[in-house]
Amino acid sequence: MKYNIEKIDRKIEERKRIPLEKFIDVVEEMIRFKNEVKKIDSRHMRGI
Amino acid sequence: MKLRKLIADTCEVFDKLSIEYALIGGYAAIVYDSPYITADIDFVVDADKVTLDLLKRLRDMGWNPTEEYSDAIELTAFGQFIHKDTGVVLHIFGDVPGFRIKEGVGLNKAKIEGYDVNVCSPEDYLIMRAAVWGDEDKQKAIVIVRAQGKNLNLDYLMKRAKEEKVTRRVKWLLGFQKIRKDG
Repeated sequence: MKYNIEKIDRKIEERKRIPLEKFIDVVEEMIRFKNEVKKIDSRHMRGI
Repeated sequence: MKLRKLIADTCEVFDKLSIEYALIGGYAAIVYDSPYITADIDFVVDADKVTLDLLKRLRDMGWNPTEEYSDAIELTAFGQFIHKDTGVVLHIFGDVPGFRIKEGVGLNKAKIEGYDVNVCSPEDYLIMRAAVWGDEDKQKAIVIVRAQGKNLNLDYLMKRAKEEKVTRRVKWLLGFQKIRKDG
């Protein structure tokens, strides 16, 4: 497996610019978004 | 409830019950500058200290168990909870491949919501990934090796690698280590 080290390093550098607690807030938003999408998918499956 | 407060309050429950613990997995990786987002909060706890009081306290916080745990052994074999407001998943393990709370295993502290949270060391994070060693584990371990660079404690890492019999895998991972030119 080939690893894209340049891309990994770029993402790490971007991440390092965000303080830990701020990044946890970003994670929280992503989780909320994913859960909303799941809810909508589930409503579609039930034909609502 | 904010996610960071949820993490801090959960750790406070462990502390109040005198259960030694370590944050592991994706959130430990985030502490060590991983850019990857994770939904699951994973903890390894000292299983000998766990009683069903922990279950009660976690329920009081809004963590709903996905199974009925009738004793501490079931809870620490694989405790899984979903938070009622946030949908966040919590896992509690007595041990995982490559890691358990024991003498000689170093823990770090991270300040989350003003609380000192015990986090596995980046070296132990690598050991855990090396112990499982799927494609995803390799990728995630490389990220931490790149992010931590010279900050890794190589003596401790190799000692732990030897203990967990993952020395070759860890040496392979260190091939990705980024060495700063400024020393």
